[in-house]
Amino acid sequence: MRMPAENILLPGAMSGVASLAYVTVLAPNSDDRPAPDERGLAIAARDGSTDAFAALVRLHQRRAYAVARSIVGTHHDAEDALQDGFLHAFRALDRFRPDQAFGSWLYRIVANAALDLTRRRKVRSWDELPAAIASPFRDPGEADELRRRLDEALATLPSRQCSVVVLHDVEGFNHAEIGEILGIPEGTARSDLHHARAALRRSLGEFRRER
Amino acid sequence: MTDERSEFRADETVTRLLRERFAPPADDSYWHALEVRIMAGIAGADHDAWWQPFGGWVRTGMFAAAASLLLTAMSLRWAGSADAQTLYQAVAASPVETLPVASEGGSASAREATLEYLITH
Repeated sequence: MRMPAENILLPGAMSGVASLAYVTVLAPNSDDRPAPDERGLAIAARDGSTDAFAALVRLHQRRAYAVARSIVGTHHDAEDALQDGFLHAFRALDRFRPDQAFGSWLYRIVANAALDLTRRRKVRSWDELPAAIASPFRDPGEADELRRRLDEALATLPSRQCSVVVLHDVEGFNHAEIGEILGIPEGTARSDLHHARAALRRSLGEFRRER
Repeated sequence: MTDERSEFRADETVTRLLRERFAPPADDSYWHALEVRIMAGIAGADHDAWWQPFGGWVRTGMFAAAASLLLTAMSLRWAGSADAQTLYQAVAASPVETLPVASEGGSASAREATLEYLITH
């Protein structure tokens, strides 16, 4: 299904008589759309177009939220980190190099904003899951117990391992991307993922054996 | 290869629980509202920071103001002492001492002239 397109006015995107150009930007996650001209948007945003930056926000806010959430833990803090991150990114646009992927550059900034927030908060907390959330488990009692065990296991994990396992297993980032986002070597991201998975598996394994 | 070890592979139940816990809001209106908030925050920060390009000049301006205040104070003080010095010199170099001499000298020679006239006549 084709997503609705949106025309964004970009100042200075064309040379010659007309100094304005329209770049077609499509909503993310549609199947048959052309790739949005992210580079053009980033350059236009760097040249002062807030419309272009708004389009970049639209393109990246969901994944950027996931990055922030994997680090800060709660929805509320993830929102704060996301807003801080986008603000920092906007102010740092003159340091963005067009030869790099805007997403990677942005996620690193958002991750740093989230890390700053956790340092200020000192303690990482977790949201209570809403009771109305659709559960993938047949037995509600078992699901509640599994969630409780998962929360306990997450609380004992080193925060970086927790971020890595969420970024990899929930969001689908690969090791190299995670390394870039968190500012760690790819091998460290891989090792963190293994340790986190083993710890989470152990904590739920005990529950399975008890039953 | 370590990736093949079962303890390092993703556990389906754990992954499902993690996805449930970290699921982002699904409502499109939430994302639209968040985008509006983000852009409003940027617009606000941009407006507040209109003077920031001049931020580097603030310190220079403060130094310049302090230096000019100091120079003004010093020149006023110097001007005050110079005035006092000038006044003193004006008083000290006053021609008062020559005036009595002239008058006294004038009356002495007049007396001598009278005395000389009386003696010779």
